Amino acid sequence: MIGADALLKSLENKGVKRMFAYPGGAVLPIYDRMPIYNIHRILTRHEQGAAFAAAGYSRATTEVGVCLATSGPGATNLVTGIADAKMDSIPMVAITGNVFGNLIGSDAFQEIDIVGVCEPIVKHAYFVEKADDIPRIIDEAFHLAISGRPGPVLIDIPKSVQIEAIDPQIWNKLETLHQFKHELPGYIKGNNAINLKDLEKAVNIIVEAKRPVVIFGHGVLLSQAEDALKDFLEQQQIPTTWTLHGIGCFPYNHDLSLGMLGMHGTATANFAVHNADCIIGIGIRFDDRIYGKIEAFERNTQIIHLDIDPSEFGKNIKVDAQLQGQIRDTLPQLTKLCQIKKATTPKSWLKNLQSKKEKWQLDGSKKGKLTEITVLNQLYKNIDQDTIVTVDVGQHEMWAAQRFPGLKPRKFLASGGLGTMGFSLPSSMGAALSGNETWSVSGDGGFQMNIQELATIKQDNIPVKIIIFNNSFLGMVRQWQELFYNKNYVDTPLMNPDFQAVGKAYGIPSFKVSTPEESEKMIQKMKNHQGPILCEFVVEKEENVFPMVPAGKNLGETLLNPNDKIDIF
Amino acid sequence: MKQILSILAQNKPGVLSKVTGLLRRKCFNIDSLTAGRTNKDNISMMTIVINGTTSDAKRAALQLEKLIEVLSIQIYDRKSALVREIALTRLRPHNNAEEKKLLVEVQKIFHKEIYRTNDEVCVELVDTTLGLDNFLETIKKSGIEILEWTRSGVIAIKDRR
Repeated sequence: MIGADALLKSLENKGVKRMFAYPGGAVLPIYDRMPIYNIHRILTRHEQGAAFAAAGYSRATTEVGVCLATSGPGATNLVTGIADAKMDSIPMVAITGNVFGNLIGSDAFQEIDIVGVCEPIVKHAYFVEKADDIPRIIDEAFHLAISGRPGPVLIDIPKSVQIEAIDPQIWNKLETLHQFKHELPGYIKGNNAINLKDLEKAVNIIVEAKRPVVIFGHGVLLSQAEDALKDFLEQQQIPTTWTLHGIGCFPYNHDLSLGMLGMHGTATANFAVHNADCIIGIGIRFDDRIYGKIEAFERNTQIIHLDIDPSEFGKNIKVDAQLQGQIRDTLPQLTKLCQIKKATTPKSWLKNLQSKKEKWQLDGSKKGKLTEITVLNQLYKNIDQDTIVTVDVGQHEMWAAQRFPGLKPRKFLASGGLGTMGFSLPSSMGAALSGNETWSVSGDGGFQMNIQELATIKQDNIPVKIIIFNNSFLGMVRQWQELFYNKNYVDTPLMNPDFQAVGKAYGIPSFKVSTPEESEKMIQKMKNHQGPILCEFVVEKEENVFPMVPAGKNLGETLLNPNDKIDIF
Repeated sequence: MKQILSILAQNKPGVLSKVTGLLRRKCFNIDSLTAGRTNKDNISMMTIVINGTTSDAKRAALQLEKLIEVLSIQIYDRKSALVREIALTRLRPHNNAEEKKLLVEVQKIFHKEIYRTNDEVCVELVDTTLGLDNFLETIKKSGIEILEWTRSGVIAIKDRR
């Protein structure tokens, strides 16, 4: 048995059923052995597609997504997908081949120092020096990827290591044991006992608060703390908003729900956070897309922060009380102590916000014309909570995030941190393998960034329902050019291919619609269709996403439309 | 203010580059860096001086602790640590009595002479950062020619006094 066997056997032991991969010279020994192991390969048409598909699979399930690529360009093509997983804390194991050990460092054909390249964008990276280390490294890599704050782990294996004979004793161990001894003395998972002083401080802040608000995010989902969140909010009657990745963790039609926060958040959520005297951030990292302007965000407010990663405390926003640990462990303790101390939220605050929510409704769709909002509303009406929707990046992403708050956790998949165009199509392939109905929504710009994955979808008959919005523009960039650069539309108008014809050429049933009536019927047709299906929706060209907080402005300066600001007091 | 991070890490390839890369990415400015083996096998110690506040140092430490190879980090300032640096220098006094006298005195008080030829002196200095800075200033002012000057960067250990 050789290194390649050790790799594949170890992956089997870790419960890996499928892997998104692309062959090449430096992974040939692994490919040679693949047919004898019980791991289904999905041959993507670009390594970036493999990385996104693995991440999509991971986002939709609770499993670690696995992708594999050859050395050099194969490895560098994974980079965007790995970076995306790092920014969004997605557990993923990326495996790359490399040139023969004796050629490492010689600038050999297709050699790249992928461990060096990926250093800033992985949770950890391994360069494997001998085949006997592989079982331990795979074991460690999966542990690192999924424990604590999850993230991507890279394993780079020179071809010489892939063909090196493995010690029979280690092979025996692999066949009987599924656990290897970790050598990770410096790894902190972050599950320490809560600091009681901080807990008390947090509760005191909540007791004093007159206008508290909760912002929750991805950490709640990753920690599977949805129930703990609901208990806390309902007991304390604190109104709540969420980040893009928080979508689905709390019922959106609940009295306490204010909608998404931030640059394109709801006016009510932005108003609430801007005027709050106590902000409780649960599993979020206070990034620039939600705080608007730091000084305004921090003014007159006490901030409580719950997160598993202590380096997030005070990184962007000041923190007055920090509770470090798994949200599912820390939040119930906060709930309990709040109950003991009888912390309550003034009813007038909630009432005020509910009346704002009534007043500041999201814009409806234009009558008679086909807009992205129309299609998204039609889609939302036709799907159930268990349906997965992967979106790309830009206007449609924000419109969908505003309008799809009722999906369950792990059902609204977006590239949040990195904001990667081309995310939707490949990640929908991974997501669809979870067995849920899956829709991929993209704009005409992003769709072309990974359009080659139509071949993968066709080959594996992955039942993705593909929506392409064609407004002949890079919509979000155009919106910024319109609002801040005098409509100087440089390189945002797109000359597009006939997407319907492209879809057909790949052998996928493909359609094109341009009216609301056709669109409604098409959504139903797509829903009822078995297997992959594609439709291009030709929509109005120059629509804008509102509400909007222009860059550098505070949340109190949310624009409801180009001419109307929210009333901040 | 200067902050000292004393980092114990596994002695593995690439750890130094990971530590410095991370500090660069997070915009910390490294003032000095030393690395060496410790009394324990396979464990090395890095002493990094950065410019910043105590909270900057804490933020840096929290980031660095996320590296799998980093085992523990101590943060010191000048008061809480015993700080030393080594400098090696080759000096050439001009042929005048004043400079020669100064050199003899400076050496006598602080430092060790390693070798001497008829036209240069090689000296080893062990002192605090400030001590070395002062020495360098004195020599510069004296007119003695500095042929070569190199310093190790700071090492630090907890000062319990």
